[in-house]
Amino acid sequence: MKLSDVSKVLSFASFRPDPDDGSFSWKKRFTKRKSLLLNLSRDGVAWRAASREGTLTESGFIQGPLKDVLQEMSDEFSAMTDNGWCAVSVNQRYVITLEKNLTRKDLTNDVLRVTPRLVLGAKAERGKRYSLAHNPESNTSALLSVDEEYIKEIEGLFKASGLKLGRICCGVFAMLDETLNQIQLATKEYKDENAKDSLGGILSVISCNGSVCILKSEKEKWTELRSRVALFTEDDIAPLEKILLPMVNDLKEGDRIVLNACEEGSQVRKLLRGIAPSIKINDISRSAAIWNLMSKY
Amino acid sequence: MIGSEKILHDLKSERDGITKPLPRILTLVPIALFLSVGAAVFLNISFLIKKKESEELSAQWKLKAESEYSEKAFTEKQIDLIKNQDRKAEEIIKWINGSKQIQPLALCIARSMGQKSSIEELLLYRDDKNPHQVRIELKFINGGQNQLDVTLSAINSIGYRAYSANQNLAQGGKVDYQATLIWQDNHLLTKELSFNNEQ
Repeated sequence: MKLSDVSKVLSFASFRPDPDDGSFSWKKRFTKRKSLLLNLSRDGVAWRAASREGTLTESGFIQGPLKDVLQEMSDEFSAMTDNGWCAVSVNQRYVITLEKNLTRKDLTNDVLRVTPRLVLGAKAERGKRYSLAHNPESNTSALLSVDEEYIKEIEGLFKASGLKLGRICCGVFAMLDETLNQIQLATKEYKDENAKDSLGGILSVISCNGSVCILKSEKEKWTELRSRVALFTEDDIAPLEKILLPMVNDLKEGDRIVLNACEEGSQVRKLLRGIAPSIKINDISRSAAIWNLMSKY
Repeated sequence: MIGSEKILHDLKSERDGITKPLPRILTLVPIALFLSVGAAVFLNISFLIKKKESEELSAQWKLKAESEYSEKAFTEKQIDLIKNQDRKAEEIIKWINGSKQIQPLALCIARSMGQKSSIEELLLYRDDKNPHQVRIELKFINGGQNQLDVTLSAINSIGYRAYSANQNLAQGGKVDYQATLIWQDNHLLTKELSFNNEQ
């Protein structure tokens, strides 16, 4: 036994999860440790610091490619963390698709990362990293795939800047996952209260930093999913309207729209209200939604 | 995936050398260690405090014992002084008691002196071995033989008779008389004489 092991036991560090242990939530891994959360998009890098108590503090946005931003800001980023630990959310070079009949075995994310063929079968491609969100009520799943090359590029840039990566996730997919969870809980409550009545169709609209993911479900079955990266900006929301309009037009009376958006949520909500005035909109957007997800889970 | 465990998906490359945290129950080990260290420190401090207190108490008792010893020595000295005084007083009492028998003798000698005569020196000795005998050395001036006769008759009157007398008459009526006085019970003599006359 090394002296460092003894000191870790005496300081209770051995009883806390390793900062790089992905099987624990970010909150547990970084209890009493400062960390930095970054959101990568085509325009630039948005960042927000998480204090030792887990609350969100300083924030900022720098335009430009990740490489330049890290070269410029690495010292500042390092100062906002304990030992340089960061979590990254990617908002580009990813695809979210709707898949059917994927295995539901109790396979962890590690298995999906190392041997995706075990889970995805013939749909697995080389040079991709995957994550899944299953629909418990049907055989459909939302599949996130990101270029492995892009992930390795990010890891290399962070390593070169003296920063450590504790997690790389996709912000839109994380928000989609959270939205589906909330819908699932709400559906359960609705069923408990209204016995056999069906909830009707739900159009889930997830928007984060101009990227969007729209999932349509009928009687708890996912029927259609559309995902676009860097689709719109605050100044130009027309591309979003273009993609939303046909899906909204298909909605029937009694259907509803669930909106979960980042800071730009008010504009998306305004757009939805404009194109679907008779459809009920449930807005579950929260301020700093992506940062809260990253710092908590 | 945000499930019951609520963990966000992770696309990062596989990690090496990740150690899982130790079970929570084992936190009792460092807690017990810290408690025992704290208890040891507390006990040591309390032991040191108690030791210091006992040392102070011991020093106080030593001082008290020393003062008691000195007081005892002083008291013993006082007792010795009192004993010495007592012994001297007893000796005086003994002397007074011992001199009681010759007090009437000295008194009658003094009273026998005439108006013109005065005692120059009177010494009365009693021997331990023969307390019935008293050695007298009397020097007086003025009075001469007459005064000596008066004095001797006074001595006879209280029951003493002079033997081995030695007298020296000087000019001016000065007399130096030395003799051994033997006490006689006059009442016994009177009784014996009366008895003889009756016969």
